[in-house]
Amino acid sequence: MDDVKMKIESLSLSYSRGAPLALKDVSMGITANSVTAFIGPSGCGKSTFLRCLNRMNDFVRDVYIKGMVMLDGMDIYSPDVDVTNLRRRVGMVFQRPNPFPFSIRDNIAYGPKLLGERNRSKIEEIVERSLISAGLWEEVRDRLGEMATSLSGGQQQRLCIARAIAVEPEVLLMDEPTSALDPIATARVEELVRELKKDYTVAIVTHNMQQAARISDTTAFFLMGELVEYGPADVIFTTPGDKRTEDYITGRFG
Amino acid sequence: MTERGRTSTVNRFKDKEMESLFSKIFELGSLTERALSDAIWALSHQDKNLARQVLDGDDAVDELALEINTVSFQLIARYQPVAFDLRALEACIRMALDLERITDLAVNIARVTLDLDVRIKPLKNLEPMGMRVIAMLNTSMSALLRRDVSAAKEVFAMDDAVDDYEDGVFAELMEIVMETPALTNGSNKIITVARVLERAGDHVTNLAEHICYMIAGNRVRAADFRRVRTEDK
Ligand SMILES: Nc1ncnc2c1ncn2[C@@H]1O[C@H](COP(=O)(O)OP(=O)(O)O)[C@@H](O)[C@H]1O
Ligand SMILES: [Mg+2]
Repeated sequence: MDDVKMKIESLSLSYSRGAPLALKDVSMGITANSVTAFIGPSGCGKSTFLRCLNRMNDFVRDVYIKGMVMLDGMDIYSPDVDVTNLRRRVGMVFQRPNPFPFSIRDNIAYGPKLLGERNRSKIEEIVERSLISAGLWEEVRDRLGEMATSLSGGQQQRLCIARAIAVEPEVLLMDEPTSALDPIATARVEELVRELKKDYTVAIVTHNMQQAARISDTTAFFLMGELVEYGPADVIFTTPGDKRTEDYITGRFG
Repeated sequence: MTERGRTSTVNRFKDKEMESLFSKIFELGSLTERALSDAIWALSHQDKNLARQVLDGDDAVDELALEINTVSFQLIARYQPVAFDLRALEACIRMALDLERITDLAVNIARVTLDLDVRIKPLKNLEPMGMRVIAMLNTSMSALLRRDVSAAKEVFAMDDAVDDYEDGVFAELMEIVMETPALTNGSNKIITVARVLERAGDHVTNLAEHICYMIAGNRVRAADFRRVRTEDK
């Protein structure tokens, strides 16, 4: 049996009292050391679901969440959970690259420092290792002191991935990480995602179906807050079980 | 909403092109049927002119089969199809191959007709055997047209009868050779025709398998729908 890293049980979410449910009774498992992709039309709740996995929705006022999300068997919504520590274990990469207005080096060092790492050579080591893992090291090793904003969009996104993995998370959440990138930069990030699953569990939202087909092991299809179907990408993209999945992925939707 | 609008436009192009691909398959299917029925008629009526026409028609079939292949791969490259669309394109590529092979087999039969220098009395089993294969071909084409899995599955059982006719042809020829040893050579040629028809039946069975997979998404094995042969038990 594959290891289940995160388990979601009957998760429902509404953004405010009386608003329609943005997530309706969603249950699924996220397998360790694999890539799980969430697909579905705009507004179907993919990002909402992803944000539930590290309690990013806590920021939203009036949000109402019911159900359970477990990380290695621990209920992440239980009151005694340290949310900062949870977000270290479950990191996030956003749609648009959002480097801090610091040097390349300091972008990576930021997280470890925040967690109390003071040893300079240890920090240098983390910077190098993270940039290597993010496939950016060769391109920036001689310019670590330069501003992160001087990098190209694709490089910035890989820097954000390096920043996310600098704190040694277990799970990486990515919300449309390539939607602002050109095809070449997209290909590099996709390649990176496939590499990353050796060490991390990856959950990714993408509006690009071909991307999900290329990089995911498991694909989950959402529609109007409902998880219609999830399963091995090979099965979803050749013989989906639900007519709605079929209609969506073949472009016969609505 | 805009996203939806865009996909459905792309989708309309794709649907149109898939549609025209399917019509090429039907065209190939009818050329194949024609080749097979002409070849059988030519043999049983010793019509060498018609046999020659079967030979001449082969190039057009090869060309059309190749075109179906090319177009299918173009559609894959341009639309990166998934689910039904992907299965349909796989099916088209494979059906074109099987149909082309059936036509090749019809050409083999036509060659036998052209080679045959003796008159052998019409066999009771040979023409019905050919007709049976043609009926299977028609059934699978109409299953494709109607996207009807159970019709496609009927084809599998029909192949049993083809085997029976083949046995019948062998028995008849055996008798002829015993009566008139001078006809041994000619009889052997007719035996190859029975073999060829049996293989044509197998290709039609393949067609039906591709059609089932395309429609239902699960692989079916023709053998599961065939009668259990006593000697296999
Ligand atoms: N912060 C928010 N406050 C209120 N409603 C929201 C918020 N975020 C998303 N929504 C609503 O929740 C639904 C799901 O949105 P989202 O999860 O962003 O979908 P997706 O990522 O699949 O495009 C949408 O109807 C959206 O308008
Ligand atoms: Mg989103």
